[in-house]
Order: sequence, then structure tokens, then C-alpha cells
Amino acid sequence: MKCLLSVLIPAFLLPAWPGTGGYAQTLPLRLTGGWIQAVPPSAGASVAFFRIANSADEPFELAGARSSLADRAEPMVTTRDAKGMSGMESVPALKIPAHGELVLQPGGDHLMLMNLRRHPNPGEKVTLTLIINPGHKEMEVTLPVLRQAPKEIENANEHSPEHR
Amino acid sequence: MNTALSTDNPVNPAYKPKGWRLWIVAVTLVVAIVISVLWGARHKAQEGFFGLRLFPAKEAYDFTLIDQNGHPFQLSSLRGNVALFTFGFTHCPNFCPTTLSDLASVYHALSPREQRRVRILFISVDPQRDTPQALGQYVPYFDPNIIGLTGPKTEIDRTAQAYGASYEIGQKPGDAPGVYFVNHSTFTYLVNPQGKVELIYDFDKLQDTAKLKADLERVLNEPGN
Repeated sequence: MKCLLSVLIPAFLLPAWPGTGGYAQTLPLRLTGGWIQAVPPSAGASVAFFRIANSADEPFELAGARSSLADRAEPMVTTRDAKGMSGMESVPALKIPAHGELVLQPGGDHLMLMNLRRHPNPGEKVTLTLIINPGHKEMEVTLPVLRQAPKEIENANEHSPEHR
Repeated sequence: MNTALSTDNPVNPAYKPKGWRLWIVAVTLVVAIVISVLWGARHKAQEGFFGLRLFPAKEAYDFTLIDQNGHPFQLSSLRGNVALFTFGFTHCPNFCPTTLSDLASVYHALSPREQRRVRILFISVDPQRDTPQALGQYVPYFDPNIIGLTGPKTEIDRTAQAYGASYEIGQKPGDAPGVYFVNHSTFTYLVNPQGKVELIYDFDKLQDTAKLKADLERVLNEPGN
């Protein structure tokens, strides 16, 4: 589908498409394997998981997100103590290392979608506007709501995010 | 000291190093045998199970809690069947939905005959918010056959302690009253048809539906089960 689109739509119509170059605010970030955990209608929160690769010499930070799905989207780190007790803590931002990757996955760090305004149905696609620092830049991504992690996380749901 | 040594080996100075060598060889052999025996025993105990096998299986604490329909539920009522259970809370956004989705996926992979002999339990460690009604709105989403359990904190504490699980009230995100996280251990326990804890799964293993299914089928088909 993506190949078809790239043939049908001339490149000049896609100024924000990564790799087209020349766009002042284009971020050297690439999001893959993203999904949102399906939760029961009674749940007040859900979680977004994805990987963001950074091809630049400088690190970036994921400072949160905006979405029509939830009031707040906060970066969380998962903690595990000596007794095997797991918890999570809200942090101001999660680092996307230079020439490295930020990995958000079940049981690990994640983006928590708090105070859900509506119930995300499995199969639905939800748009998130990620807030990237420095510069408070925005990166729009669309993630599917899934009951379980995609089996082939590396190849699943690859996105070419739009940068503003 | 020197006198004693020279009494044992009064003439040949080369004799002493040879004796030491023999001792080293003997000790190394004994250590190797002990290690191989222990390794073999461990391997035998594990016997290809995907979950961490308790060998011998340990008598499961027979808790009595309240299910999502408000009825008392005793673990021993599942005797003759396999119980898979975990601890969590319904406001948990990360571990609990993933764990229950993974366990439901394993359950769905079983044959109808096997499903009749397997029950998944979700024990709340947040009884303050997790009433039977709250559990009733939560657990059936993953599968209608999952049993959500809550109850008096004293019994939940006893149950958690008996299985080596732990929990504590964690961070409060924001100032809203009644909003808090609960830190908790994320193991899943398999109680066999004889009422013994036989296998324990770390959270990371639950995604492997095929291997969990193989463990369950094996336990269901063990002689005496």
C-alpha cells in the first residue's frame, strides 16, 4: 500500500515525509512496532508501546504526547525491586539516545494514556502527537489498538511519522 | 611445620608435589561429579518445562476469596483441574492487561476439553478499589471464564505471602484523591490438579503461547492428574 502511495503521490506533495529532506523541522527519528494495549471499557488508563530509533548525533527526549483518546499521556519508567515487585514512576521525559533507540514495551518503560475519554476498541487506530525535546517538536503517529503485542515487533506496524 | 613435612617425606623432595597433584586431581574429580549430579538433578526437575518447575511441587495455600459475582471462592474447589493465577489490580495499565491477554490467549489455544480443566484467576491486591463489581467489569473482557477475586486485605495478604508474592501502594500520579499505583510482583502460578504449585512463570514468558500451552497439556496429561 505504501509503495502504491509513493508512486501515485508526487514527492512534492509530501513535504514532511522523512527522507525527502529540506524540511526545517524534520526529525531524524523513526517509529516502529507501535501499538496501544486494549483494555476493558471500565479501565481509566491504557498504555502505548513503540520503538523510536534516532539516526542523529544528538540525543532527543520523548516528553509526552497529546491525543483525543486521553487527557494526559505521560512517560513512565518501570521499576523492579529485589523482591521482584514491579511498579512504575512518572518521569519528565524518556531519552532517545544518539544513534540509538528508545524501546517502550510491555513490562518496561511506556507511555501511559491517563484518564481515557473513550474506550479504545481493538483494531481501531489512534493518533498520538508525540512531544519531542529539545525544541518541543511534534511527531504525529497512528497506532493500532491490540490485545497482545505484535508477534513480529520489528516489522509490525511500521510508520513514517509526519513531523511538524 | 617443616619438621613434620620432612618426617613424611624425608628423602625425595619430588614426592611432595606429586602428592599435591593427586589431591588436586581427586578434588577436581569429586567437584566435577557433584556438579554433574546436581546439574542432572536440576535438569531432571525441569524436564523440559517452559515454566520454572518447583521440584517437588509445593502444597498450594488454599485461599478463600470473593469472586466477581460476590460468591466465596476457595482454591481447592478447582481440585482435579489446573489453576493459573496472578496478582494485580484493575487500575493497572501495564502488566495486568498484558498478563490477562496473554493468559487468555493460551486458554483460547487449548481444546474445549482441555479448557474445561483449566481456570485462570486474577487476584486483586487492591481490595479498596477492586470490589466484585469492579472485577466483574474488568476480567470478562479478556475471557468470560476468567475468575476475578478480591476479599478482606488480611486474606489477600496471607495468600500473597504464601506464594511469595508482594505488593505495596506506589506512586500517586497527580493530586486526585483515590488515584494511586500499586507495585506488585508479576509472577503467574500454575497449581496442578492435585492442588500443588508446580510451575511459576515470569511475566516475560507469558507471551509465548505455544510453550505455555505445551506445559499445560503436559500437566493435564501427567499420570495421576
